[in-house]
Amino acid sequence: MDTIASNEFKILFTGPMGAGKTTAISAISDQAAVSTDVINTDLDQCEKELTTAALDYGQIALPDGSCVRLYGTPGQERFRFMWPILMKNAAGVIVLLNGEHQELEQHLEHFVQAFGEGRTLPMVVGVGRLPEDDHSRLERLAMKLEQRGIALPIFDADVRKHDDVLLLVDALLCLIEANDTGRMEA
Amino acid sequence: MTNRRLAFVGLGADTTSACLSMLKIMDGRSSVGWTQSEPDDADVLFVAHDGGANRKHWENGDKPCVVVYHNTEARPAARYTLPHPFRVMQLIGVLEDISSALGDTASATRAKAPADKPQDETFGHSLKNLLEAPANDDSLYRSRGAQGHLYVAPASGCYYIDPGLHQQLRSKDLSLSALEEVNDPISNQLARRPIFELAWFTAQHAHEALAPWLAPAGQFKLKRWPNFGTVRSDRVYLSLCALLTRQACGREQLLEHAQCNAGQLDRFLSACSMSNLLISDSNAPAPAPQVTNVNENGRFGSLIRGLRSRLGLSS
Repeated sequence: MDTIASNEFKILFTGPMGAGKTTAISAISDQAAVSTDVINTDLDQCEKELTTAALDYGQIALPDGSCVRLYGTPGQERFRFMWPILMKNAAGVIVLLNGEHQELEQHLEHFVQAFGEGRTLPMVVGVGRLPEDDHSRLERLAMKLEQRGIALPIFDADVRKHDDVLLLVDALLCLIEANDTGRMEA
Repeated sequence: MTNRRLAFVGLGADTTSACLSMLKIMDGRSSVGWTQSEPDDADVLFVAHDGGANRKHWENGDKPCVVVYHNTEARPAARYTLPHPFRVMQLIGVLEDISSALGDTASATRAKAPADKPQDETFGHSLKNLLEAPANDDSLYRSRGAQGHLYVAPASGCYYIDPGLHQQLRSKDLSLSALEEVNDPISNQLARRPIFELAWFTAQHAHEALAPWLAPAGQFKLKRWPNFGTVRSDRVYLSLCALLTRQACGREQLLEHAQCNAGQLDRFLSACSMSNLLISDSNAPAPAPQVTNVNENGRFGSLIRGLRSRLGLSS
């Protein structure tokens, strides 16, 4: 992996269209996320009018002058070429999914695999809009990953709630710390 | 004394030998005497997890089957399981469960908890048994307490609880009876909640020390994370989960890593185990890698501390 500036820290938000990446970034960014929106041409997947083309961007300035950069990937498959570009030098990735989407399981598989299954980058999964009457849906997702030997944090998370976004970020930071510990021992 | 027969199907010689040695240790300590027999004559079968069609054949029969699996594998979906290698207490535990199911009313061994153990432990034990049973159990189970009832529906992965009782469950240990199968209709007034949450809070509040079925000197690893979106927690638990998905650890290593107290760690491990999220190896731990506590400087140490401070995340 390429080196990263010692005073920069990059967190990636990814997931399909309409999962809440822009909302999540805006929830913790110093300013509202800067978005590169285009007209949504894939209304079958998501009914919103605009969607991210290149990236969303937010940042958090730290008191010591360093900076945490928050990037959101475009959700549409046609902009997939942006993913590895944005992934470069990232410290971790947060996958956001729409729990009421019919292709939820496929989305999970797709994005977890595309971003390294938590093996190359620490990864946390947040699932929003889960049906109130189906409490086993999240567990089924976790077990699906477990069957492939993947143990990722996977939480129900409403990214419109600040605390839910913070939970995802905090879990990611704990994973980064645990990985860091491993590197120090190696 | 009741006499029962058990047989081994498809197990390696070392497993069979270990089991027979332990039965000798148990001899005289239990009101049930266990002897080895042929599978057709046995009351209980110990079958290998990787036994294929042979395992299926016996599991589909009417005899209780203990599926023996290697402790590096995920626990199989079977009512009775035993990780190999195992300790005598684990063997006693599974045989006790089977004795109870077979109706051996006086099956208490010396190792079993005293008869006057608190009611909540009985509830916890019955819940644990239910969670370890096959997932296709579409029965409904009820537990009663002074504050109200709750119902558990294992097949749908949920439980039903009075909202007031739910608030109490989240914050303290409740005195509840053991779960019993019922045919009651479910009231619309009851809240439907994920069963994982019930297991988590029950173990969290019931165990001051490590759950009795976990070995204090064992090694632990997580199969899956708890859903902290449902059971909110603090940083310590997130940190423990992060390390336990990376490597198997003993309690001392975990205490060092998360800088928490032993009670907090034990409640966490008990809750993970009750929720079927934990792999535990009860054997003496092999030399494990050193674990550095998270407050020491890693690659991103100061950036992470700065970010947490900036976001108002508790330390």
